Amino acid sequence: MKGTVRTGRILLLLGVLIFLALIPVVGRGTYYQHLGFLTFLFITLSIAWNLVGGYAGQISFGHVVFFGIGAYTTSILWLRGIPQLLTIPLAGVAAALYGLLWGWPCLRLRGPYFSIATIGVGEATRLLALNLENLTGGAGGLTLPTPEDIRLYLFGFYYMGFFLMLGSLLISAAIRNSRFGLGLFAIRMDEDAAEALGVNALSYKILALMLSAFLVGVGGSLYAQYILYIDPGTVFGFSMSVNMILMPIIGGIGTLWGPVLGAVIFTVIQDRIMTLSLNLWGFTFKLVQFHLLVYGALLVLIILFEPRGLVGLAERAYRSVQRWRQAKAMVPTTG
Amino acid sequence: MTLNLAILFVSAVLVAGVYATMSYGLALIFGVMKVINLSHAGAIMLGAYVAYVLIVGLKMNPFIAAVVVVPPLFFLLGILLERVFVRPVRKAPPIASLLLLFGVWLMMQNIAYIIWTGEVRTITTPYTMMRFNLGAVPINVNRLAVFLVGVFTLLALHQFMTRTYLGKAIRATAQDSAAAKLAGINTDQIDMVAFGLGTALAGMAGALTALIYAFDPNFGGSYMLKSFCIVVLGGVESFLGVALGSLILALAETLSVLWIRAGLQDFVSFVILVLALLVMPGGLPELFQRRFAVRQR
Amino acid sequence: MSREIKYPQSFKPNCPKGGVTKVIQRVRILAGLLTLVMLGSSLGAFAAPPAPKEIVIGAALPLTGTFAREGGYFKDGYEMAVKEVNERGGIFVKEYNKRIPVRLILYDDKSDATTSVSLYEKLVTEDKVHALLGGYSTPLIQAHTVVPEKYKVPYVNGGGASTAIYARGYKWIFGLLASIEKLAITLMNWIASQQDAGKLGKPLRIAIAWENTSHGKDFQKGILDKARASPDRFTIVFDEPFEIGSKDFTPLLQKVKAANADAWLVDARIADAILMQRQLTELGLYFQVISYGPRGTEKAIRDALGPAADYIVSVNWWHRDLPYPQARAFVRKYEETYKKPAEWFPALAYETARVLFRAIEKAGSLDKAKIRDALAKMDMRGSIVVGQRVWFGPNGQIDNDYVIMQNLPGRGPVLVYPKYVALGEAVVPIPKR
Repeated sequence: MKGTVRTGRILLLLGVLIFLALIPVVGRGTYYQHLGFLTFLFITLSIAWNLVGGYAGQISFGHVVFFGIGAYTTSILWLRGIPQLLTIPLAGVAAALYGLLWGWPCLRLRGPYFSIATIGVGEATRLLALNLENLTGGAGGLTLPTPEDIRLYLFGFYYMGFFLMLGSLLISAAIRNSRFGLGLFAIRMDEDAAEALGVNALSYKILALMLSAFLVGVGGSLYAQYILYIDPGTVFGFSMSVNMILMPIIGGIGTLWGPVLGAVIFTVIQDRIMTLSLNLWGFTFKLVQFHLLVYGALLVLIILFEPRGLVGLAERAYRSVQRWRQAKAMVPTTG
Repeated sequence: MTLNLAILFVSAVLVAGVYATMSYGLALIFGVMKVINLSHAGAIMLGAYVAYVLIVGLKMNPFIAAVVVVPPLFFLLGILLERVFVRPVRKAPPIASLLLLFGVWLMMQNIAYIIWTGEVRTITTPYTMMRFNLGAVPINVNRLAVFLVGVFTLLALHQFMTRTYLGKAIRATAQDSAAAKLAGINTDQIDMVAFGLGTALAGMAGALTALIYAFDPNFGGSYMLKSFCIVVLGGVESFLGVALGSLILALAETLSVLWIRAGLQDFVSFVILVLALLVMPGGLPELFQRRFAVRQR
Repeated sequence: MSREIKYPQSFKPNCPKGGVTKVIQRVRILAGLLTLVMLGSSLGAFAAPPAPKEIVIGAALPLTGTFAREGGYFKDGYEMAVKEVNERGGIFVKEYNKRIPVRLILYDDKSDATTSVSLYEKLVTEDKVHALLGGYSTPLIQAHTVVPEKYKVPYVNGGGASTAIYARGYKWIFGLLASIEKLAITLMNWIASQQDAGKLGKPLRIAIAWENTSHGKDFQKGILDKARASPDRFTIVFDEPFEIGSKDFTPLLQKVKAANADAWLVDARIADAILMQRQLTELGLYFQVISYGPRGTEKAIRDALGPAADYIVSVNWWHRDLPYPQARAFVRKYEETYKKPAEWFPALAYETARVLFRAIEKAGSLDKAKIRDALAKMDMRGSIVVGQRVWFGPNGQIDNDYVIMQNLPGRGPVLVYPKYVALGEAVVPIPKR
């Protein structure tokens, strides 16, 4: 019984992956290809944030700094003549080192204090990027060269996004089942107790942050190469940090699939529903005007009623269905 | 050069008055409830807009609007927030209330966008352009009035906290909630009052800053960070600490423009915030106490 | 955290109904009419290939968020131009030997660069537009112009002036705003003319501040180049950028005060200009000349500042008092339709759309490359822009003249420069209050 469920799940997953892999082949250059890339990117960011915020329980409001560092590392190096593909791992490494730089001191802070510090780090980094014109081009941003065959280029990037997402998912799954992951969970539950059990909390947290930073940095690098133009307001903007918090929390913080679910829902809502307008009582409301209200309310409701997000909700629903089935099976059928 | 320094110093002191009003609200809530109120920024922003409606729309006297009308409204708002959102998660880990109040902030921003649009607004009052000279240092009447109102409010609040039963109960809860409960204080009620007072102060600070600066629905975020910085610097226990923290931050920011670009001013305060969190999590008072303790030994 | 989160702005009850829905409704009616027309004329149209029902033109504008005000003006201008051309039955396309109505698809980019890029991507790949109109504000335009260039779709904008947009060797991007450097140079030339008239001293001590964007940097470059060229006339005593959307300029202004300048030349947007001028008056700073670059004479600024806006000089791409009959006609029609003063935003938006329509007509085809070539060869006379002529340089940017105006007490903004459009004499230096 259990075995078939498991095989079923794996088959479903494979089916989805094959479907996703085929999108650009069938609909090459369509909008779905673009949407697909963005979704993969957001899934990566969401999973990466979850490594620190979910697994280790350290809520970061400044994760966008890694995205920005990744984007700028790639752009600056590419413009200075380093081969484009080589800049991708370098972007990840730069982001991870930046994570070490401020994580090493800031992760000593506990819970909410760490969160507050990350807001400060995020904003300070954005201001630096704005003002270090010689390096970053200031607010004018950096424009990257347009490649020869843009369609082929974007086609390629769809798969880069796809594999980045897959990689992040595998890393996240591997951590969940590892000693390292258990250590992070212990830190989330009770840091002092974890320390007492021999978990070096600080180095665990730093390692999680650096890993997360690496993934986000690579994401930022792909973003820059895909959009071909970056500026501090976009790649260091607080709203990106907010998105990175909202997606995993809506989906299910600390779970494996929650961040994925959250990111997919987030992009779909953003693209499909938010562009609609609603006609009520003679006024036209554009739904885009309410997006923060919706996300804010979701955040509040989730924390109040289902801290494990949509995944938690789904599990709850699944369990009650099963209970109902069992109850039904117990009742002898009268003929 | 000395004149220039004098001008900058006066400007810093005037700014510090507003900072202190803002931070005290945050400090009060944190002190009593150990809750980091991320909706503080939202309350500051809404305070600015309510003042805008009262002053520009209803032609009310700016200071009556900021001091008499706004605080009671925001006191009620604070009580509502505490009852609906904060109380259900009081037993949960602190990060829950932090995220929850962050959600409230997002909602507040969106509501402001819907009502007032994202346009940047300013309030121009008859006082705005008035000024007089103190020696060679020009002083703007508007800024001075804002400063004085902020300082008087804090002094009045200080009297309230030290002289009345409710005030003493709040302080007792801040020092040791469990002991206060044992002594027969209804700490649930105290929490509510503290959150109400904190929000009222944030609203008032927002209304006052709106008389000097421009604002939009994103307004408040950087002031909230500055408030954190001040609270960390000054500690949550004392007025003096908050006042001192405000002054230090205002001076650091204002004087920093002598060496760096004005655009990097906020960078200074955010760096101070992170450093302060790291170096002295207990704030300046703790630092003094520690030195004092060493000397005693 | 000045411009971190960009969100929607509120609905405006007075506004005409949502652009897209309105256009769709209109298109439905038009489509019905068109079927009738087609039935009638089908006999004569055997030779031509089947014509598309409509010409699809798309744009994403900041209708909410930081640039909502300007975005709204652009929407007005685009919609007015589309309405006009459709009232005549559409654009005449020679290839099909008939007029084809225009359908305008407008999206809201929330003043956010990533959203803007996504929406242009959507316009090209999903809505399959024939051509694109631009958005507003340099950062957004710089981000989204990558899209038309990579998909090879003709694109015209009237909302981005920075040279950076046009310095990338792009082939498909055209702009109706002359460069900001030229704006700064015009301002300096005017100051020099005032020096020659003996109204300002030599050398003039100038303080400049510029928004930290490529727009602002172009401004700075123009001023500095000019100052370097004539050190006998100009000395730069203060030169610093500021963040757009700043909430407090006191520290910056205190530095300016210490610099003891005669002239205060700034490149700023409306909100920043209002706050800066307000705080400057509050701190009691005096200058002989004050200019906020392209801003300072708008109604919004005069309303917000009252007498504190008097004598501000602005350098602009357009003004409603331009003495051209076609410009007057535009002003009359715009102000009647939208009950708002005709600022430069809707005028340039309107003209941008008309230039694109003209290019499609000249191309005689809906082929994207042909429309692009028609834009590159464009020489439109009788335009409402300054100089009455629209053409594009090899980089895709227009190079027409600027006008300078000054807020005069009791009269509002008055055109003072260049001579061929001047309607009044500038008051220089500003009288001390």
